[in-house]
Amino acid sequence: MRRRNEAMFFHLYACCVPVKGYRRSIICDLQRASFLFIPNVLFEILTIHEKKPISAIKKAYPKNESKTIDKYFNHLISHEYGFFTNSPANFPKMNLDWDDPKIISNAILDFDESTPLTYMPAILEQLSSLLCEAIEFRFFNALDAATVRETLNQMEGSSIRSVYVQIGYHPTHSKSALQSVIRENPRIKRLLIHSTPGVNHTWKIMSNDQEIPLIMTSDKLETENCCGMVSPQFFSISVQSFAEFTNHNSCMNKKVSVDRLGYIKNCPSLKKAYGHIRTTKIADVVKRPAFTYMWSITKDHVLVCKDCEFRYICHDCRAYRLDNANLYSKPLKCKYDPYSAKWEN
Amino acid sequence: MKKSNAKFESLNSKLFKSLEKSDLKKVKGGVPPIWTMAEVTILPKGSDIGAPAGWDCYCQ
Repeated sequence: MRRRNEAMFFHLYACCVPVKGYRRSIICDLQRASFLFIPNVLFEILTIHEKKPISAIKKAYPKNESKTIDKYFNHLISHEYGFFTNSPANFPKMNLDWDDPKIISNAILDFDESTPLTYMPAILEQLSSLLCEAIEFRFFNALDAATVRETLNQMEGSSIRSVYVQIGYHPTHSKSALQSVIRENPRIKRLLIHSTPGVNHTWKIMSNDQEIPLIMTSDKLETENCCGMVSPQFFSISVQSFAEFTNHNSCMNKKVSVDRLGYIKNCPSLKKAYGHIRTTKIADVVKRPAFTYMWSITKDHVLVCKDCEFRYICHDCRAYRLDNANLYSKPLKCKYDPYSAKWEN
Repeated sequence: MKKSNAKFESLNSKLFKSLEKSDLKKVKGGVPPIWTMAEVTILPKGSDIGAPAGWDCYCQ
């Protein structure tokens, strides 16, 4: 390794992007899907002073902090977030513009015992024509393994590539039956069985060389109220998601939902509906500016979230808000306070 | 963003350690949003990283 001298520049790897919060900052490593906490002063060094050599950076701060600045750089080097160079111009930043040719990229379809499954072929056909790639099927009721199989087989020939399935427990849900459902349908990326009689376990099922989680939980996920959770467990750290979250809403963008009553919405938990699937085409709904309005609400627009260091890796929720009267209010189910950097219990 | 006073702080402070287990405790009834298709994957240092999470469809 070349020896460092004070005329050199410190440079973050292109995939490592700093994000400032109120109390602390993070550097998101979009390649390794991880992040590192840093003090805000280091964020300042890495952004405001990024074009200065080390000697000039040290001059910008009190002399007695020079060793701390060295420690900060060593910390970043030891975690493989950056390097020293004489020619920073040779290392351009990653372009984080975002675009997607899909008119709709993801959909949530809710069902309960009263929802006619006969709607399904028409919905899938419409979503396919909009190039939708991912669907979450949320069955709040119990459904036997054979019906699950039959329902999912309807995606044959569609544009759908990834499917999350959530179903209420049924006595036919043996591990082997559910394994078969997963293996017969390579689109399934997660199968969750809720309301089990006390079974709480996750298996990794090998299907098409991928490990697919088969989750059994006694939690009762019987309404759309189970959605909207904000937790570090659900952080997404990738180039694709970071670019999208900085430019669009991390939940609503290019999403459409059909609630359990058949109403087309941005999200099943929102009251506003744009028509019924029986009488309205999804393609017509997504052309309406009122429908796509929320797609452009980024975390930089949301109260409190705009001061949070996790804002470009965290998922938003516009349905359950702290202040229902304010569309830009903080997600109700987020328990993080960026001003104290603490998670509430 | 609200104005904050950037000051030199020790990296040993609890504030700059990784998230604690209590921060990552299970969310009752919580399921990750659909479209990411990837839950948090923290790879160990030096891992053979392959494609970043969420890029599977572009690699096939």
